[in-house]
This record gives sequence, C-alpha cells and structure tokens, in this order.
Amino acid sequence: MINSLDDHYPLITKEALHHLILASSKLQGTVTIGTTIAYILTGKRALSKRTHLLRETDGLVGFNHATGICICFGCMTGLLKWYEDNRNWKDGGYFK
Amino acid sequence: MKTSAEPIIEVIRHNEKLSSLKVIMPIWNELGEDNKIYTKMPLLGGLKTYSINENDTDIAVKEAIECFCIASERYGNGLENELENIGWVITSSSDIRTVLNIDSSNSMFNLLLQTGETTALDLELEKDLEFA
Repeated sequence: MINSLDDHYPLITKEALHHLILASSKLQGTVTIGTTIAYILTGKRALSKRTHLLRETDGLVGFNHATGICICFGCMTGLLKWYEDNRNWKDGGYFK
Repeated sequence: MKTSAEPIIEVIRHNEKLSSLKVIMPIWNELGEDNKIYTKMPLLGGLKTYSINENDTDIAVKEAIECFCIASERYGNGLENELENIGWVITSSSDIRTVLNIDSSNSMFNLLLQTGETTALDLELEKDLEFA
C-alpha cells in the first residue's frame, strides 16, 4: 500500500531547493565541486554531520532527500509551499 | 565486489595545504523511489549523495569526498581533526603524510563494514582547492 502511494510523492527541482537552502539562516557556506554542491550547516558538530549534498543530475531531487535537507536547514515550510504551488501537492490535503 | 580491505585514508599535504588523498572505505548504495541511486558513506558520518546510474555513482562519491575535504578545511577544524571526530584514528603522522584507520577491535563493527561495496579512490586536490 505504501509503495503504491510513494509514486505520488512530488519531486522538487534542484534549482528551487538550492534557493530555499541559500535563504536559510542555518547555512554557513557552500562548496562546489564538479556536479556536486555541498551545503554546510552552522554549529559545532562534526563537519560530516553538517554537510548535505545536492547534485546536477536530471535536475530533480527525491522527496526523502529533499525533506531530510529541509528539516536540517529549517526550510520545511518553504518546501511544502513549493510543492503546493508547483506540484499541486499538499501533505494530507486535497485540492478541489 | 566484497572485500575485506581495511578502511584507510591517507592525506598528503604540501606546505600545509591539502594536496592529495587516498581512500579505501565502504559505500552503501540504495535505489530510491525516484530511481536514483542513493549512496551513503558510513565512515564519513553517513554523508549521503545520489546519482543517476552506476558510472555516475563513481563521480558522485569522488565529488562528495572532495567536498568533505574542502569543507573541513574551510568551515571545520581541518580534515584530520574532522575525521578523528567521527571515529578515525591517526596511525602515522608527519608534516606531509597522515594515515588514518578505523579501530578494528570490534569484530561486529568489522563485519558490518564488509556490507556493500568498497570504494578505492585516489584524489588530487591541489587544483580544486585553489578555485574553491
């Protein structure tokens, strides 16, 4: 049942997610290598725990990965708003 | 490919600047719901990246490690310190060459590390660091 629902989870474009993260106050900096961009969270934890990666692949980022990153950077509201505006998708909601 | 090769990171510095890196460590791949391959590096604090196919996975892992190295230098306490923070142990160290291993006294941990693929990489970092 869950698998059949998973197909309906929306994907966010890498560009949109990029701008959401850049607007976050928890962002300390970024590192770009080739097709990968690393976003570093502020804080005193080990750097590997503060590093989150996005890549130029097909331009889309999976639902789980995007959610994980947005929780860390405190931009879930922006993410859900984006899904609502651009993917006509709302968590637990219905559109008329 | 399953192998019992010990995880190892060798860091080479020239004039205190990161120059190159040799890495052998396990990576865990998983097919995501969006048909991308999600790769986790358990020995880099669970750093996660993704790719569209197997060739792309190699590139993704290489870039992820490079990003980690450069970010450690720029935003962290230096690569060696950041690796020690997440369980690596320095086994030999000089101004130029530092070798780090994972404490292999825990047999269950060793067994877990043999799960999935092992990646071996040789990274040249000098030119990237200048632009980064």
